Amino acid sequence: MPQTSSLPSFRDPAGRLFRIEDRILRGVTDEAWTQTASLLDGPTIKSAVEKGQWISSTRLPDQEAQAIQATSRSLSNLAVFLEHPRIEIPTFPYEWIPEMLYDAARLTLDLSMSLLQEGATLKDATPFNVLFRGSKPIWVDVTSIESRNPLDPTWAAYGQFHRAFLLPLLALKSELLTTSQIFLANREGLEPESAAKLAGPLRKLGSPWLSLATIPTWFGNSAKRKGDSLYRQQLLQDPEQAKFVLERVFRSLNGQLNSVQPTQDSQSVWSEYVTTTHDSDYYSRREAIVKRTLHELQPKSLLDVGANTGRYSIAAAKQGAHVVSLDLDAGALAKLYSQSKEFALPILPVLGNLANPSPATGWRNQECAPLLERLNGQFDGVFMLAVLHHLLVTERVPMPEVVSLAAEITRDWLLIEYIAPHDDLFRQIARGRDALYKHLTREHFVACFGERFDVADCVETMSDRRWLFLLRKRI
Amino acid sequence: MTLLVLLLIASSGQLSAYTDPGSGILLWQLAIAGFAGIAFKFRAIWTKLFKK
Repeated sequence: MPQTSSLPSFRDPAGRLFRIEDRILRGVTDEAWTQTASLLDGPTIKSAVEKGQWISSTRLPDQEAQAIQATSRSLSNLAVFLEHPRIEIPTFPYEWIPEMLYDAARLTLDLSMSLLQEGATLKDATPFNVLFRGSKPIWVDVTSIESRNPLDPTWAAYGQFHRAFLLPLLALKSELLTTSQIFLANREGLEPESAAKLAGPLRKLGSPWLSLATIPTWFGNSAKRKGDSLYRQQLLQDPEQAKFVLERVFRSLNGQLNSVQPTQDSQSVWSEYVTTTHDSDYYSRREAIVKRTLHELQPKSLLDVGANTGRYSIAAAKQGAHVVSLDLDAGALAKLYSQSKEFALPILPVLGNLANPSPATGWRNQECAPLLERLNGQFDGVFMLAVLHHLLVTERVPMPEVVSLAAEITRDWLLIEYIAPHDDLFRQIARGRDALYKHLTREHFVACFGERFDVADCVETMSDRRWLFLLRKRI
Repeated sequence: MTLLVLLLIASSGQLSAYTDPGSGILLWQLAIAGFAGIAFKFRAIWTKLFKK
């Protein structure tokens, strides 16, 4: 009998997501299905599914549903079973750049505004309900949709949207926090009280801090006096008035979201690396080798570690590979994300550090898998260009450990750059500790990687100091 | 907006008791909804008076 395993969706009593082998299935209770089935057939969701903004669902035939129901007692209360396509590599808000969080917020708000015209609403507004397929956000929690009470002028998910999108985007735009600092600490985002503290005494009185953090904090103090009456549903008598009011509430959120949209005017530490660090001959030689490798090996999937602004990720994606671009510099990835969106390339940016990848998070550490678990064995090829010396020196990871990790991630090949300890940039990051790293010779590199890989090609890219190695994993 | 801010500063004394974090967002939504409700009434009156 096939084994079921849970995925992060048990919080909603309307149903739960689970996996049987490679299939992603969702069980929905009879009551929830009665409410949501017709809404899922409405124009907003149909159009969103066509545009790839809402995950598609196929209802399983009754006989198959009954067989699945019998596999686990936890599925016995579920009446209807849906199958969703698999998102190959899910990423979570703490691995997103601010631009991705903004796009997820935009999707959430646009869907909610559109659903209002059909008498429906989203009951959740969390970025954990959004995944990315390449650079396109997609809403994946289909049971988040519900009919709205026509007399209700408020949005139940307003507070969640404010905490999980608006305040984090505000803190990110002001460069006070990173997405990992926000969402690894609290998956609900930021409370206005903590955001107002971050802002400091002067900034919190300016726009948009005043309306997003400061006034809600002051209101919070007043809320105490209101007691339970605050949480009583406020219904109007006229459905037209309720809809008018809710449209204005959404319009106000839309304005606030525009005010926290990330801007790309600042230079990050690494975003200008390619244009300023070395002579153009070096990059031309490197690019020629990358393109030749891509042409010869035709990868379907590729991980670009230290992708920077995505010069090589874009080359791979243009050749048909699904690319995951990992980098720890949000500014550099923002440039890549912008290009990827512009040319509709299958590139998924991931903000993270290979030496300190995101951990398992959520309830029992089981809601979101650790990054390496999602990456391991998923790629035909891996690029590690100008990365190894950072792992060895800045992160102080021993070479055999890097070999072992690379062999776990790639299924076939690895294009890796070796930089000798006497290289200027190597010496710069070694900060005078040259003696510590003098053993990291080219021979040492070949010996370590030779444990798991065969050298298929080796080209010198900078005289006597930098080489590109194409390595094939030994099966 | 200035008036609203001044009123809030005047009314926000120190509270030592438990405050539900984020409950202010709920009140903020109600405030926006309140303004929109008033706008709706004005619109209805305007339509009744001038757009017959």
